[in-house]
Amino acid sequence: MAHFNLRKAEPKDVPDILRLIKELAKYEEMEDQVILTEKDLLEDGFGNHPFYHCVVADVSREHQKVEGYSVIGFAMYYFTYDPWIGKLLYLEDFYVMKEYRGFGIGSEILKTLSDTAVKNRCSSMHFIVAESNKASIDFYKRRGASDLSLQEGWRLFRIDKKNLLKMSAEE
Amino acid sequence: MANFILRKAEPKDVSDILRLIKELAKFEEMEEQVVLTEKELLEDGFGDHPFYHCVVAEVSKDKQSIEGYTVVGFAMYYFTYDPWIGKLLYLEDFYVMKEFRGYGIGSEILKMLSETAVKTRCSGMHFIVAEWNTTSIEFYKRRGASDLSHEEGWRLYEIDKCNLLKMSSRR
Repeated sequence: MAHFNLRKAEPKDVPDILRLIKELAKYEEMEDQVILTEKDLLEDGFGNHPFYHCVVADVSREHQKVEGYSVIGFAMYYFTYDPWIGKLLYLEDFYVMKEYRGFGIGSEILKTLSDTAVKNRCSSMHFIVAESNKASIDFYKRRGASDLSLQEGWRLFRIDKKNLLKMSAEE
Repeated sequence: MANFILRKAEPKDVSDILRLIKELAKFEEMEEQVVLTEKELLEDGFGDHPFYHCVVAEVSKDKQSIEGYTVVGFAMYYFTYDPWIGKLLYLEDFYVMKEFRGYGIGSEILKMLSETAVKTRCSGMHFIVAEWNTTSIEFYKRRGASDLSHEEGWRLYEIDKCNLLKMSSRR
């Protein structure tokens, strides 16, 4: 089966995007952590200033393997900025429904993103991968990805909302 | 000396921003890796669609640095998107000139960024820190930062331009 179509997400795709975000979170055993709503996704992705972009993979009705779903994969990305080299494409989420794997959809999505990155004059694509996720690490390494955490010793830090509020209220 | 102001960067600050980017890169022993130009910083930060935002710290002329600079610190940030919780503020570069440290400029910058994050309804602030940079790690931990690389096992990956081109030109 090679009948799928990749396209830029539209506002009507928001429920499917949220569904796929939750499916991917479920795979990482974090489904209850998804507090984002369709309303947030709509405002944040399709307003005057999009905070993210999405590419979706859809299949026509006769090729649906799972009842009712035509959008079966997605990638969420945005542009970041490296002060040494400029624009980068940051791949935030990337997921294809289990029943549709092995058909090259993931590869095609990554190819589309590579085209987008090059067209937008990005110097590279960055993303994070859980160190336990061997299958994904291999998928990316086959395409030339290198582990910057290993090579350059970078560690990702977070200051959460609670601590931001604490800081912003300090005298 | 506590006489400094913090303000949003303006187009006229671009040469100081590039100077401070290079100073910070020098501290990381990576100065020759900065290929970004003033022209790019101007287009990318002050055009129709800014790819980054900057806050600068400025002192009055009588307090200027040895070389005559009044812009003595900066922070570069942009907005990213977490598919589980939505908008985040991503702190990309953060630097205060050596002779102006110890006066609370760094703390004030971080406080201002916290306010910006809260005002724009961000759920948190993310940033990366080199694992050997214990001074910075402690600075952030004192303000409630947690090491997501440690807690959640995330590793930062990169697909560079050469491999992007390879992928985008594949059949």
